[in-house]
Amino acid sequence: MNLTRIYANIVVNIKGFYRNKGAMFFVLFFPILLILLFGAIFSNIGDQSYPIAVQNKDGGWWSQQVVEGLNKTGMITVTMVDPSADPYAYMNDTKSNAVLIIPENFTADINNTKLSFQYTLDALSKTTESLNYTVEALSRTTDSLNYTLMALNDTGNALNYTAMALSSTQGALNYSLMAMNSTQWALNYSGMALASAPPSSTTFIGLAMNASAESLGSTGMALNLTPAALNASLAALGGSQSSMNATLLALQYTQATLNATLGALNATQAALNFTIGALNFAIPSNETLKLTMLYDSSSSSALTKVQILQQVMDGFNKGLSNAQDVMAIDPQSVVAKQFKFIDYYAPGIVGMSVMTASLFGTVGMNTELRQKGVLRKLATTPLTRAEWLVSNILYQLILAFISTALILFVGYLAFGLKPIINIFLFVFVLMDVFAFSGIGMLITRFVKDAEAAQAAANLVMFPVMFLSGTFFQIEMMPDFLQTVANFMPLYYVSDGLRQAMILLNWAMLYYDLMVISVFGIIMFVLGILLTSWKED
Amino acid sequence: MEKNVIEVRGLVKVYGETRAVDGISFDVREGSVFAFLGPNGAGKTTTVEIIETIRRPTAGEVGLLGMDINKDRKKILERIGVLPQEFSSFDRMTVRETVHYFRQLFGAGSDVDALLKLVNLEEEKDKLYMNLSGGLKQRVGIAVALVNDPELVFLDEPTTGLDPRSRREVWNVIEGLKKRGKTIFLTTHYMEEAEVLADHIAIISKGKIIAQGSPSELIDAFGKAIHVTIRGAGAEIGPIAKDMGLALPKNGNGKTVVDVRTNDQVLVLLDRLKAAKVSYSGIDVRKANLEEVFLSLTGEKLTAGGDER
Ligand SMILES: Nc1ncnc2c1ncn2[C@@H]1O[C@H](COP(=O)(O)OP(=O)(O)OP(=O)(O)O)[C@@H](O)[C@H]1O
Ligand SMILES: [Mg+2]
Repeated sequence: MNLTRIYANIVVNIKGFYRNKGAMFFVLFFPILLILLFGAIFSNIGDQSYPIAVQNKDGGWWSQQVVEGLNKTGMITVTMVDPSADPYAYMNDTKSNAVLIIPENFTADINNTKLSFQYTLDALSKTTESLNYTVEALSRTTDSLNYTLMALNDTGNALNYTAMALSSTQGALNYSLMAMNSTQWALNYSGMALASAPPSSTTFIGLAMNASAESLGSTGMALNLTPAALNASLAALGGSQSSMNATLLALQYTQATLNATLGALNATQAALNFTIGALNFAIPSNETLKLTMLYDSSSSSALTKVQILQQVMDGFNKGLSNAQDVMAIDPQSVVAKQFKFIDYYAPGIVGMSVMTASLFGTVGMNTELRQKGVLRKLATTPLTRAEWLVSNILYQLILAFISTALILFVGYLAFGLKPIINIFLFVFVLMDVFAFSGIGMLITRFVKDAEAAQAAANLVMFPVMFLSGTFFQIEMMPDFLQTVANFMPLYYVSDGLRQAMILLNWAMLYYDLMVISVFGIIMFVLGILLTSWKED
Repeated sequence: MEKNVIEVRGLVKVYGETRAVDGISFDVREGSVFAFLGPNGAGKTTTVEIIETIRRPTAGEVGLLGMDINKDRKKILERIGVLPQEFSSFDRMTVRETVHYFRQLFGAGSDVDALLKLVNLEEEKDKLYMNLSGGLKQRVGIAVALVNDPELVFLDEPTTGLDPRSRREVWNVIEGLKKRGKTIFLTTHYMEEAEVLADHIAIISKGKIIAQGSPSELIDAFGKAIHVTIRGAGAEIGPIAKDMGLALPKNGNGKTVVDVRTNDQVLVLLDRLKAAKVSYSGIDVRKANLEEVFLSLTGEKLTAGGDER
């Protein structure tokens, strides 16, 4: 790939285009003319592009809101059907492809639903309250358990003190025993002294007196110790008593908190019952509120109508579920955007213009250059086929984007068209160019003569143009043609551009994108593979 | 230094039943003008385009500037210049833009304005291609063929369809190229063009080369007659020719043409006319041309509609 050569080629193409008034007219001004023409035609007819029949079996306030909501989208015109009519028969008779049925009691059901929502809300708030109390009670129970633990601790301490006191008392008793022994000895010696008196009595009496004195000393000591021991025991008993009191208190406290917890749980249960009751009330028959839409699924406009209806319903649901004052729903705000007819056909004109520019541009360039022998000359230069193809496709893309920008700009100036410009717009235009440049290359591969190739391109263009919903909505066509429309690549470009620029229904957008990308890339690759310069 | 820039051996190209080129061999010398002369459908373009690497031969070998046409395509294209048959370019480019565009396609080459001067298109350089006359278009084609300053230039019928004046202008340009030392491979079905421009001529018919050589060699070898045209004479010439053992004279348009074979016979004829006191208003003597060479070789006329003079 040599960029200088690619650039040189693009410049040649653009200069040639710029100096070719006919090509300029068809690629740039014809689409503008079309959009102005369409705008002029349809501004008179107004925006009533999608008729929907509505059978209102309810007639209440809410059903009227739905009808009004549909009207205010600007894309739908509501025709009322007699509530007693058979909707299927009606569809057949009037050839309508969509009837919306608002069931009886629609308003009452919405109102009931609203009421039951309110009750449910109340019950939930009570449940919350009781849960709060329960939590409180549980925290109190914990407190009391803590206190009980502290009391048990104290009791342990008291028992320790008592044991110490008892051991002191034992000491005192031991000393008293020793004293009583000594006293015995003293009595014994005193007895011996009494029996052997007088010669040696003095000695024994002295001994006895000593022993008695000893025992008196010991007894004294014992006596001295015993009060202390008694005091200690007393103290220990006092400690035990107080700790038992504390434990008792703690147990009482715990009982109180358990009672409170029980109360709280009861309250919670009651609240839950209340909630369940409320919920039962809120969903009386296990059914969501339903609107019935009868539509012909083979018709794409019916599908579009279903989409619009879905948007209106989304708006209502949002209003019902989170607005404080449901009664104040503004029907205009239920659809994200107001639609005008220009929003519908501007994408179609973009798709078609890019198609014709790419198809005829490619066919014209290939046949003309081949027939004039320019390709043969190019084959004798270092320009490669790849460079030539790349520069041509870049040139087609430049034209396509200029043409798209012009159409949208004129749409904006003349009719206030405000498309969403996003990456998908570019991708759809790109695929449009790929698909129809590819078809152009294929045509010129097999139809060598310039005029015959032109005719073949026309043969491709006309059905595609008319059957893709650019000029006529395809549901105006007979069934078999509607089926054919599903095979028209341009249909996916136009619908995809419509989704990308106006409606933003992502599911349909991705579907369109997938179909046209597969088709575009296959055509493009085939075209590139089969294009050759040499005629061997 | 006789160096061949093109060497063709046993070249064959078959299209279905047609043997468009049927085993031809020839050499083109460096710096020469080589003319490939033949009627419509003889196989000239087929041969040239095979040498230019844009068609594939069925059989045979082609050496070009010492390279192989099958392997060295890129290098070859950089060193040759091509004016295809019925050259045409982008309608809405000016002359200068056209030459500049093709100049851009090659990495290196000649100065665009110098080229325009060379082919004498300076005054027309801002005219759109589609508004040019046929001769000017051909000169643009020649300028385009020269953008890469090639050593070897192929010109496929550069003057077909041009009026005599335009044709002469193109011839001037070709002669200018020859002076600059370019080798030129020219195809034509105008024998006069070959006669005026070529150093060497190969005559091709139905895919075969039926004769080659310098113009005078060919005429000497194959030109069967010297034409003596006598204007304003009567039926008396017939018996004289018969007496000399010549073919019957052709009459028409107040002219009588006697074909003789040698220069001596011309003198004898004139003497006899004088002796017989034949009255006449004019006499001219003309040697055979390539047209007749071709006629004598193939029994066919080179160009439908006869001599283009
Ligand atoms: N692509 C092709 N397919 C089939 N036949 C071909 C093709 N190109 C040339 N021929 C045939 O080969 C023969 C030689 O054609 P060619 O174009 O080489 O002749 P030419 O000498 O250049 O004639 P002209 O003076 O008309 O240009 C003709 O009979 C022609 O019909
Ligand atoms: Mg030819």
